[in-house]
Amino acid sequence: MSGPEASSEYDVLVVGAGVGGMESALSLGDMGFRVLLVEQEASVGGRMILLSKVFPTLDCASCISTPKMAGVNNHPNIRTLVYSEVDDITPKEGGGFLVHLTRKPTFVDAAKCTGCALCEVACTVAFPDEFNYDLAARRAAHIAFPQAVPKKAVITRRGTSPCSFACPAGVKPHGYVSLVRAGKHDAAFRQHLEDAPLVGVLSRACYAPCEEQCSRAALEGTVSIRGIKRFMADRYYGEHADPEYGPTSKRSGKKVAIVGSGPTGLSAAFFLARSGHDVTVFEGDSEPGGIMRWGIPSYRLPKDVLARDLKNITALGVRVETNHRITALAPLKEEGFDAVFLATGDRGGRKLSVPGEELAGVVDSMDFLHATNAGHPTDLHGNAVVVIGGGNVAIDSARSALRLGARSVKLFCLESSPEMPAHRWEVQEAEDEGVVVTTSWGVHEIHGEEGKVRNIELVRCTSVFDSEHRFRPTFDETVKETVPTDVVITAIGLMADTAPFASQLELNRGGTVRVNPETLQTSVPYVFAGGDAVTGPSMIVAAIGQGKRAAYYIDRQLSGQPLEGVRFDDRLPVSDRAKVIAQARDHVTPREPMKPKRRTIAERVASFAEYEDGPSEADARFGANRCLDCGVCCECRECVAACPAFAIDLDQRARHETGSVGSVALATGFHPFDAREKPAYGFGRFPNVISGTQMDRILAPTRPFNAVVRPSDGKAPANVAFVLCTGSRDEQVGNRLCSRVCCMYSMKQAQLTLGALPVADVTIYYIDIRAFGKGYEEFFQQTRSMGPSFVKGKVSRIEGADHDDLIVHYEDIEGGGGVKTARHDMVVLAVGLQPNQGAFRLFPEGTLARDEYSYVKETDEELEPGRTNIPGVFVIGSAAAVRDIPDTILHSEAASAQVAAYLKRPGAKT
Amino acid sequence: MTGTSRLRDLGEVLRDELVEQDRIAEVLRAGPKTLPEIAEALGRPPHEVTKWVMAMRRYGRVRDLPKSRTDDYYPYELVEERR
Repeated sequence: MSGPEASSEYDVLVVGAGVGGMESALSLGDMGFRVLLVEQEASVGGRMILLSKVFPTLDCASCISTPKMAGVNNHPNIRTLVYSEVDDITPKEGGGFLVHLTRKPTFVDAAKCTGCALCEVACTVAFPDEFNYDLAARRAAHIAFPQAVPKKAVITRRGTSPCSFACPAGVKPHGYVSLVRAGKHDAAFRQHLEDAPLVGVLSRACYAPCEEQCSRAALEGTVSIRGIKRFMADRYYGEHADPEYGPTSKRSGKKVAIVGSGPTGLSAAFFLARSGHDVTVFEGDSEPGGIMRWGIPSYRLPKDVLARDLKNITALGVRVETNHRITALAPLKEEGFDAVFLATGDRGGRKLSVPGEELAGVVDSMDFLHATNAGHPTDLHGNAVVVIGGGNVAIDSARSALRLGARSVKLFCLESSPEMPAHRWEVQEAEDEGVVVTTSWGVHEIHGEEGKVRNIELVRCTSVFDSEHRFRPTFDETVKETVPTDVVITAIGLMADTAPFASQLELNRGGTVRVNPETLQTSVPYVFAGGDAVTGPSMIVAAIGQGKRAAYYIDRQLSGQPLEGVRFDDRLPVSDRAKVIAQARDHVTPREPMKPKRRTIAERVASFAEYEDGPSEADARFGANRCLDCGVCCECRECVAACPAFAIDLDQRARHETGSVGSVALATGFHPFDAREKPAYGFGRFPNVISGTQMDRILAPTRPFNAVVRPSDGKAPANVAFVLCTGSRDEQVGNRLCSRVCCMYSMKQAQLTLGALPVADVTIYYIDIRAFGKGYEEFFQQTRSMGPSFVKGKVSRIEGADHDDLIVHYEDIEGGGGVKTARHDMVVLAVGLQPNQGAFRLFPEGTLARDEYSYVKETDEELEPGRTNIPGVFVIGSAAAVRDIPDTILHSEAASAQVAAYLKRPGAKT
Repeated sequence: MTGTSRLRDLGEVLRDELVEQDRIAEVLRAGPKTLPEIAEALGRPPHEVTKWVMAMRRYGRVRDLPKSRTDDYYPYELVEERR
């Protein structure tokens, strides 16, 4: 923002800060009117600043534009808003207009940004550079172009990428995937650590909701996000046996007790310790880790990986007291703890409540897995094992039983196959290893002899859920089956471990702790609770998210800040996945997902060694490069780290403003013709067929390449053709208007090409040369004198040749007639200009008149230039008709005079 | 490129740079090379390699060297090692 102090009242709103809009704003500002100039791009300057030189003087376009750009940015009567959109303009009763506009977030604090561009260098997302008309790449973090005014960075964000949005722990997969793609593996790990400490655990045991939302899943298959994390974590831990940090230097003087050392408790401990609090974790068991230590088998989660993850937390000074079960809260308060976080997770499983459950040989899954993980497993050699349950714990139990030597393992569950809570892929892995999974059976009775289980009687389950999806299983008692077995492992659900606190806190009917769902504060103000103790059985990654959320609000309470009025989760809305998929489909190259490196079945069931290996660096980077960058910016935060001015602000959000203006000047400019609409010319198919706008960039001092070279291979072209009237004077593309500029700019480009490449051959294919302005005919003659060939003839098509050369087929009107061909290194299509119809959407439907070509209609082009059908609304430059730069400036001055006259009309309130 | 097939999706080509630039750096460690030479070493289309090298140039990882008037192509050299 620049100019006068932010206000809501202006004499005139100028929409668009190209050369016409800038000229008009400067004129009106100089007259003393208060001007609001709104530009949708990140810089003023429009399309002129992107030109190499201007015709017919061959003056430097930048040299002419930049004083005006600086002028509007610093004028005392002009408030310039870049990266802003006018949403609508409504006439007010009694005159003037109500204007709504949106200031789009740049995610950079403009007051701090120095324009150093270090964020660009650090950014890991490549994106087509629209200011170079897609000839080159820019980064998501970028400065629009070298002469941008204001010269401030902008970060392109199209919402939160679906993978990142899906993560309940707030981990940003798009970020670390992008960093791995770029080879910044340590940075990838550190980025993850910023969001969640248990990187190794999540790389093995996370059920990866991110992958379910990955846009690429709709094509060949999801980006293997968890596999990439595995590579990143293993590599980092291989090189860093210990964390690179110690306790934080800031100390709050506050003490927090955390009850439970599962993923929820450890996550909370990590974030609270980083905030400077003195954190003690109390664990009733002999070692920390909760479900990760005692529930998940080591073939899925090796304990050394958990141990290394734990160091990420204890390195911050977090104390873990094991064999210390907390059952009372008040003593903690008396011991000096300022806050308590209950993260007790789940205790044993639910009971079957069927006859025979008390028999020897019937074991609870959590007891079974705990004993196995503790190193004193049940000996199952030669035993037939039945597992009851359809969830992840049941699958873990079944696969563990196989590894403990069971003769057979049969898994029965109430649910049908699609209803099973376990993921399909892990059911498949279990089946691959030899577990026999049978669905839609419930337990009727367990039979035994001499107090020991002998068989289990099953009954057909006809449905599991009622019409409101409540758990209400029904059975067909006429269909039963008896299965002989030595051991029954029950895994039919877990219960929150909250019983000791029933008299100290408000609990829900199911035994979970009642909390404020946003803050996780319990009925006792200094006590917070989270994880499975609150939500019931969930995923590790969700538990980590609960711990992180609790830490946020506990920190606020301990630092005396209110818990209300803030939002822990303030991410941008999820990006448009359907749009990304639609754009990618049929366009991206099919690339198969990274396959996990599983060991052989025999190797897998022989021991509790990890059952799959992580990917190689090459595989991880290839896999990461399948990412479609859905939200563009990946939130890797490399720009944050690189910015010496601390200007990056990813929390910035759009701001909406309402203002009142006396009049409106529309300077919305034009669109260059999209040469893809002339498919016979090969634009988009042949790299050396480029548009005139692209050629101007190649010729400009701020060009995307180091010299005037062709895009296919960097060759300095020896033979360049210009094809005039591409997309203008052409009924086939619906534009019968002459573009008025393509003859002249092509001759300018021909001159500049010959200046850069003195020995090059240049050919200009034209219908007729229209050099109508002052000095234009002389410019034409000057061009001719430099030696290019002027060929009068319409080009019919362009074909590719070897070495990326091009064959132009043209009608030779003056050279004897007939269709001829010519070979060129590079062909420039002199694209015409088309109306930008954006101005019409600013007004109530149908109120702003348009002419037959869809330009804004002037009521009397000759006598009242710039005046539209809406009193007080004026149009400038090529928003009204295609114009070159001198005519645009002339027209903007005329329109400005009209605006001034309108504002000073008798009776006006200005 | 004599056929009528479309060029590869621009976004995909540009994304590939993040992976390919380390391979390009490896090629350039042996000494300056022109774009066709780099493309041949990588086995990738020259027009895609052009985009990658120009991006690396823009962000300071390679620089162009002068060419003689009789040469068609500019050579590029590696500027620095990162990471």
